[in-house]
Amino acid sequence: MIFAEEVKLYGIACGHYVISQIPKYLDLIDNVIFFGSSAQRRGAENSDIDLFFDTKVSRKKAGTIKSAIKKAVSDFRLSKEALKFKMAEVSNEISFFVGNLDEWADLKRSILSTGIVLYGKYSSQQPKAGLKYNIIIIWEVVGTKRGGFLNKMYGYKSGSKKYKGFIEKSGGLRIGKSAAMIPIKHKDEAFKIIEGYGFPYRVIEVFN
Amino acid sequence: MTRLQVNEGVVKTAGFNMQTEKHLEALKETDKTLKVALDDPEGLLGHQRRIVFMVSVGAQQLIEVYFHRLNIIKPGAQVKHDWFKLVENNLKERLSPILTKSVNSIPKIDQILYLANKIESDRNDLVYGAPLKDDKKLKEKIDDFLELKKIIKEQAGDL
Repeated sequence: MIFAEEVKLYGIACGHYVISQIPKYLDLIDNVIFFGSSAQRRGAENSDIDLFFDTKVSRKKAGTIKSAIKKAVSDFRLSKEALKFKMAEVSNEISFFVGNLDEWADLKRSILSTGIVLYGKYSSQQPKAGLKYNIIIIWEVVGTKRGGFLNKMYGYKSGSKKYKGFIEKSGGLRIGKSAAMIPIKHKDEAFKIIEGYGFPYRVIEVFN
Repeated sequence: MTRLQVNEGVVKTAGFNMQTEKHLEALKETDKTLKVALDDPEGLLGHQRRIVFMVSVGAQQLIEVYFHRLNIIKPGAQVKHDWFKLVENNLKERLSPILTKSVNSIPKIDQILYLANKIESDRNDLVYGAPLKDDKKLKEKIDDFLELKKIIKEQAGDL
């Protein structure tokens, strides 16, 4: 777990370094997002550091930005910061993507569930027209820890006392046997619980 | 007879451990030097000689530890740091007489010798010559050493 934490910090350090090296392109970039297992503190020695540079510029311009990022990533590996991490045996591969996130449906889902915004304009994550931003999490319960997990999510009764589960406490809604709708602001807590039990899950964004 | 064999075995094992212990101590010294240099807010340039000298020492120690772990170095033999300046084939010829196994059969040997050569290539110029103007070369030396360490650790286990 300590190593996974170091990998996450390495990813953040890399992202910040790259951002600092491409000032003339920052106005063209909406968000820089660190995502994937390394961002989730599940990174191992062979996990990549995944960075997404979300931009709506033309393909040609995106190519120019990509070249600048590629150079910055290469320079980062020889930065004092990166060498310090390497001394602690953290030197994971760095992958990056440049493009319009709305055009990368699968990646967008992964980013939604694991992304850390390293650069970008502040967003309250509230869509217009009074709609609420939620996620539907669909999980698969496997193994022997089913009871503990369900108690945690749905709550339980002990004698006359009732203990609230995470779904109720977060203002969410149970919507099926293995699914719940959770307000976006509680997504990290939800992921942490499910990941703590090691269950696979997927996420869908919804506005209601 | 049996007792003598056992005793010989013990002596041999202790000797082997002592030999690798010596190299591991030197490696700790290299790590310490690099850590101090990387933590220095004034930068790496003030550590030019120490860095270049210690990564050269460290590379030599790492490779010797590797050979010991593989149990392929002849008793009493030593690897010399300046051999790594040689081009690949000449270097392999130099190493052959001190090893009990073909150099080419050693796992990852080409990568290891390539990095050792990079570390050693301009060692004397940087240790005894003029100070550098920027620290890129020093960072490359540190990176090469850490890469070499990573490869050897992957092959030989914890150091």
